[in-house]
Amino acid sequence: MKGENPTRPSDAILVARIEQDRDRPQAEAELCARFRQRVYLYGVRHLHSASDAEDLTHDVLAKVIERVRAGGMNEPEKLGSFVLGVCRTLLHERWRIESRRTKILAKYGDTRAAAADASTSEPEASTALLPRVRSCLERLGDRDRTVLLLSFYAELDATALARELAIEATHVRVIRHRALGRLRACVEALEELAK
Amino acid sequence: MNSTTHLDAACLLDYYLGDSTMSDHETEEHLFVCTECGALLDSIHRVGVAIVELVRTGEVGSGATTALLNRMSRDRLNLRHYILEPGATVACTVATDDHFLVGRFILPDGALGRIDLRVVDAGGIELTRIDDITVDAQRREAIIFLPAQPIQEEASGVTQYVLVSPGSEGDVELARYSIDHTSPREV
Repeated sequence: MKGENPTRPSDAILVARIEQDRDRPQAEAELCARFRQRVYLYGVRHLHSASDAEDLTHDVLAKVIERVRAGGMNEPEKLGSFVLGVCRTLLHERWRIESRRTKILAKYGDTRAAAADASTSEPEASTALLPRVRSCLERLGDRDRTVLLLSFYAELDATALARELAIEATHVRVIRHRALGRLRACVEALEELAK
Repeated sequence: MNSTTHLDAACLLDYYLGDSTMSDHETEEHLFVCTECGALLDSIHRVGVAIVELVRTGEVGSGATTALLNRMSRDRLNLRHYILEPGATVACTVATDDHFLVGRFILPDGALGRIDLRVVDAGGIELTRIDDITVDAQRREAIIFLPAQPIQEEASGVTQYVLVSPGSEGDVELARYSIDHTSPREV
């Protein structure tokens, strides 16, 4: 995992190339490609909105590149932890700004508009995947399908789901995990067939 | 935890759903140094987004609970509800702008254990079968929602929904419900 791959320079080498302006555009593009999706998923997880996650990703990568260019990294081999640190800092800044904005709107403006704005979450399109997921959902047992819909769509946690289905929360976690495993295996098999 | 010890899929799923029993900080520290776990989380995300999209576009049917239907209503999906008592026939009035048909099948007395739902056409041919349907034991009902679009395109006719208890010697019928469908094109 940690062994050097000649086609994939280590994080430390990437940082050195950016700092020393050696193939900087390529190195920066590689850094972005390496971390973009992880930063985006961090944003989705904490902001519950695809568009807010996109904004956060852009801000984080811009800040990371700015800091690396300026030689601001003491431990270049820990680039991943550094990116995560920037994610956390910028996320907290967003929350602070959002909280202040909500307070101002609550005091002076329309609170309902503020609440609606904060809870908007649009899923991004995944057109190639949709027919495969639909077909694989149809092949699952009804309980598995219901648990996945309640988890991903209705956003119920294991405790709430357990209450809904009158089963134990630990049992819900097992069903949820196994159902997703079956679904992913089926989708991957269909993707293989399509190749 | 280091990058050579991967997180298991259950742990990543719990993290993604915000329902983790372990610290998010620890999971995130690992995700940012482990490409493989990052890719696994991404595949969970892609499937999750597709599930949400399929519901919002009215393309998936399933067993349901009241919480799920409430969420669909909040998303302004058009749900056409039918409450079906055992032996009853209801007139299906699905409209062209409906997203889902929701059947609330009232369970007969004594319906226990696993229950399957058979969907049968007027000629007795099984169209589909939903195994081990989700049952609300307290309300004594099973809720199923089906995409409205294929039903809108069906010709007029009676469809039967048969609840059965599967056993080693075959199905035991528990109750039969009928929906008398009129095609929107014929209205």
